[in-house]
Amino acid sequence: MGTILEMRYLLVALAAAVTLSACGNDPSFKAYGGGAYPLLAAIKAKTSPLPILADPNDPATRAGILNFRAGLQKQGQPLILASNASLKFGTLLAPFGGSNGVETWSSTGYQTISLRDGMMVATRGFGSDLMSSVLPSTATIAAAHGTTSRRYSYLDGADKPQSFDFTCQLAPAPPESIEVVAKLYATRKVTEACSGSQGSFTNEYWFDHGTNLRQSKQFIAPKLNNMFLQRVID
Amino acid sequence: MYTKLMAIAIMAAGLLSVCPVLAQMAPSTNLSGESGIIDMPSGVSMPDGWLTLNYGRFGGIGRTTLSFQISPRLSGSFRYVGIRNWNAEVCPPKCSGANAFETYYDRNFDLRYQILDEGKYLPSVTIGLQDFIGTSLSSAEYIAATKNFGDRLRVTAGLGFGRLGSYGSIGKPFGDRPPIEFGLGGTVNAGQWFRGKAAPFGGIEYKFADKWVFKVEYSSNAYRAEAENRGVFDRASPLNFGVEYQGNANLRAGVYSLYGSEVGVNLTILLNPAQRPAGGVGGVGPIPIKPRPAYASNPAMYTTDWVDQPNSKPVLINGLNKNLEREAIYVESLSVTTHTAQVRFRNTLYDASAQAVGRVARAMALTLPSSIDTFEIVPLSNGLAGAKVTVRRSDLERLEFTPDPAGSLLASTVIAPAGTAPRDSTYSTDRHARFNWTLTPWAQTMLFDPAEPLQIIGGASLRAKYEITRGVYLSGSVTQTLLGDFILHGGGESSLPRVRSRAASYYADGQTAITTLTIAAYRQLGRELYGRVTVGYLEQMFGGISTEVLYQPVNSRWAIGADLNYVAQRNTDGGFGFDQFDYRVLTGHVSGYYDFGNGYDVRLDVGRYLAGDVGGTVTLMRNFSNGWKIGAFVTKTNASAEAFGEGSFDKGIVMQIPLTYFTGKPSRTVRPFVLRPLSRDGGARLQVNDRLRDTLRGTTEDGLTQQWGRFWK
Repeated sequence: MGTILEMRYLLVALAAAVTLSACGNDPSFKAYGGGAYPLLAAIKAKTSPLPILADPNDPATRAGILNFRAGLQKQGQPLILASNASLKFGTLLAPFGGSNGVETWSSTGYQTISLRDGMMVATRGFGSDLMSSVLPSTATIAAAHGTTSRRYSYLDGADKPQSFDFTCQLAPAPPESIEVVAKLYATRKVTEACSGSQGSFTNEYWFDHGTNLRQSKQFIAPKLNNMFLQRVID
Repeated sequence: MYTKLMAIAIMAAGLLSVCPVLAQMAPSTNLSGESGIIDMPSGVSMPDGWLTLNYGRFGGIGRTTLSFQISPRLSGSFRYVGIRNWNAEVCPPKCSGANAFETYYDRNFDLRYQILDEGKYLPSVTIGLQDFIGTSLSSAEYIAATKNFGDRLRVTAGLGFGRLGSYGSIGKPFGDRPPIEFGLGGTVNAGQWFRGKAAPFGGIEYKFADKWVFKVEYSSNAYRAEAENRGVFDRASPLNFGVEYQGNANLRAGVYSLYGSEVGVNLTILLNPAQRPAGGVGGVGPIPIKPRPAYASNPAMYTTDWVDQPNSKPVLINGLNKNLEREAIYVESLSVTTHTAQVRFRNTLYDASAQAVGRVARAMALTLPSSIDTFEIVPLSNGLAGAKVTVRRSDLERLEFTPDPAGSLLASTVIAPAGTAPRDSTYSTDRHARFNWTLTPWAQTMLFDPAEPLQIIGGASLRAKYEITRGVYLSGSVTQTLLGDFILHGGGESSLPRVRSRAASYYADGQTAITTLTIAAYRQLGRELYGRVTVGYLEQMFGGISTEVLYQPVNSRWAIGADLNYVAQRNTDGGFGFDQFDYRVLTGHVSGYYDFGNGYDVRLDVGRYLAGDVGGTVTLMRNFSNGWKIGAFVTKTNASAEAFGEGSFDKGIVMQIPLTYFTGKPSRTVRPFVLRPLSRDGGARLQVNDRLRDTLRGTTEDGLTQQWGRFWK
C-alpha cells in the first residue's frame, strides 16, 4: 500500500474522530432555533423568503414588495431590515429589549444587533461578534464635520478580548433619495472614513430629518462587509 | 564548507542589515517534520504552541511526524519512520534480527531547544536531539544557526553529530561516539550525545513569490545504513533543492530533488491550538439584560411580599427554565431570600462555563423579582458544584454596553466555593432533561503494527445517559463495527498479565459490543471534597467497581485525589461475561495535580496498575484557554524492562481536542487522543468515564476566568 494513501487514511480518521456529524438529543449536537417568542415567530412567517432580495424592477416583485410593506405597516411593529453579504445574513429585526439608551433588536433566529440611537454598539449570534465598542454619538455624526474616534472589541479564538482603535473623518455627501421597502425618503448623507492598525473602512449614514437615521452602513468587524441597516417601520 | 557557509552568512548579514525590519518568512518543517530546510534542521522555532503533522518521503523512506512547540524555545516530536527495501540486498543470506523486515519501521522522539533569539546581527540558534531514545537508528545531535535577511531570504548553517555528522566530517571535537546498548529500547542514550564525527550542513531559503519558497541545502547525512549498506537509494550528491507552496495558514507542500538521485515530497498540516480558526464562537444570541425600574420611580416593584407566597418559588424556577431551554441550560434548584437568589444549573451546551453563567444571569435579570439584587450562580456537573459566581444585579444592568463589560464585571464578581445546596432550595420538577442519547460515527485506529502500521476500523456508537435521581446516573454505550478489522502481527509477548495487549481480540470478537454499562453516583462530601462510585462494565476490557475521592479547592492551583477499584477482565466478545480469563485485580492511585498558572500543569499518579505492577505516572500538559490540551506522560513501574517487553516502559502523547475549535459552534464535546509508541501491559490504567477531575472541568475559578469574556457572549 502506498504510504501517501496511509497518510490520507490518517487524515480522514483524524477528521472523522473530530468533526463527523451526529444525531441524538444531546444539546451539544442538536440544532436549535426560535419559538419562544411568538412575535418573532410571526415575523419569520412573513419574511421567508424575503422579496427584497429579488430583482426590484420586476413588476411582480414590485407588487410583492408593496404588499409586503402593507402587511408590515398594518402590524405596526417597529422593524429594522438588516443584511450583510459576508455573513450571508439578511432579515428583519424586532425590538428585543433595551437598557441605558441602547435598544437590542433580534431576528427570529436570535441574532441580535444593539443600537444606541442608531449607532451599532454590539452584535450577538454572528460568531465574530462585536462584543463592545466606544462610538461617537449620532448627533456628532449628523454634524457631518470633524474627526471621531472609535474602539471595537472582539473575542479572539482563545476567548480573550481584543480591541482595535480607529480614527475617522466625517464629511457631508450629496443628498440622496432612498427607498426603504417601497417607501421613498429624501435624505441627507454623511460619510465617515476610518483608518487604524486593522485597515480602513467607511461608514455611511442617511438621515431623513435632523438626527433621525433612516439607513446606514456600519462597520462590524475587520474583514467583514459593513452591516446594512434600514429602519422599515418606526 | 562550514567556514565558507558561515562566511557567506556573515557577509550577507553585513550587506543586508541596512534593510528595514520586515515580517520574516514563516518557519517551515523539513522531511523529518521539525523546523528545518529540506532534510536538514534549522535554528528557528515554530510559533509557540503550534502543532504540526508532517509527512515526508523520498527514496523509499517515509516519515510521519507529530511535532509540538511546547514553549517558545522548546519543541518535541514523535516520528514514525518506514524504510522500504530494507533487507533486499542483505537477505538472504543475513535474515535475522532487523534484517528480517522487508520494510523497517522505527519510532523516534526528538527534542529541540532554541538557545538564542534572532537579533539585528545575531542568528537564532537551536540545539537539537534527534531520535534520542531507544534503538536510535536515526540518532543525531546538532547545533544550527539561522538568520533572516529581510522578508524573503533565510540562511542556515549548522554542525551535526551522529547521523548528521556522517558526511563531510571535520573531525571528532568531543571524542569517540560509544556504541549504543539499546536492549529493549526506551532508554536515553546520553553517553552518545555530541560525540564522534562532526560535519557541517547548511542551506538557503528564498521566497521568490507570494506563497512560494525555493530551498537549497547541503546535507551532512551520509545515509550509510540505507544508501551504502542496503541500497535503499543512491546517494549521489550532498545537494538538495526544491520548492514549497503554502496556500493557506494550515497547509504546506514541497517537492525536491534529493541527493542527486531521488524526488522527495513533503506535506505539512499546521495548527495553532491557541486560536480557534473561526475566531469567536457562534450560537444563538442572548436575551438582553432587562433593567429594573428605578426604585424612586416605582417602589412598589421592589416589594418583598412574594417571598411568603406559597407558589412563588416553583413559578420562578419554571420561568428560568423556560427562558434557558433553547440554550440547553437546565436550572436544577433555586434558593431565594428577599435580596439574594442562588441558582444551580446544568450546562449541556457551552464549552465555556462563563458563557453559561452569563446566560443564566440574563435569565435571572429577566424573571426574578426586583427586590433581589444579588445573583449567586452555580454551575453543576453530575450534580457536583465547584465555584459559586456572585454578581450584583445592578452591575449587570449598568455594564452591558460599556467599553469593557467583561473586565468591569469580573472586578466586582466574587468566585468562591459553592458547597452543597442551601437547605431551603426548591428543585425543578422538570424531568425531560434527564435523559439524553447520541448516535455517532465511531472510528478506532491501531497504530505501529510491524506489518501494517496503520489500521482503522469504523462503525457506529450509541450512547445514553439517564439521571435516576439527583447525582445518580445510569449510562451505557454500544459500538457496532461496520468496516475493517484489526490484524495483529506479533509483539504480544510479555510476562505480565495480558491486560491491554489483547486489544485487537476485543475488536475482532466484539463486532457488536457493550463498551460500557454503569451506574455512577456522585456526592459532594464537603465544601470542596467530592466522591464517586461507579459499578458495572467500566470499559471495553474491565468491569467491576470503581471508587474515587477528590479534594479540589476552587481558588487553588493544586488538587489531590485517590481512586480504588476492584475489577475483572471482561470477555473479548463485548458481552456480559467475565469467565474467559479469570483475571481480577485491585488497582488504584493517589493523584496530585498542580497548575503552574502559565498554561502548564503537572499530574502525578502513584499506585498499583492493572497488571498488578506498582509505580507512578507523570503527565505534563499545556492547556489552552479554548479547551485544547496537549501533553505527554511517562509511567515507571516495578515491572522490569524484560517483563514489559519492547519499549521498556509505558509512555505517550495525550491530547484533548474541543469540537468547538473546528466547528466554531458551542459544544461540550471534547475528543481525547492518546498516542503510545507501543501499547503493552505494564503501567496500564483502568479507563473510567467521567472521573471527578474531568467532571468538574470549568467549575474552578481558573476554569471560569480563562474564558470570562464569554460571560457577555
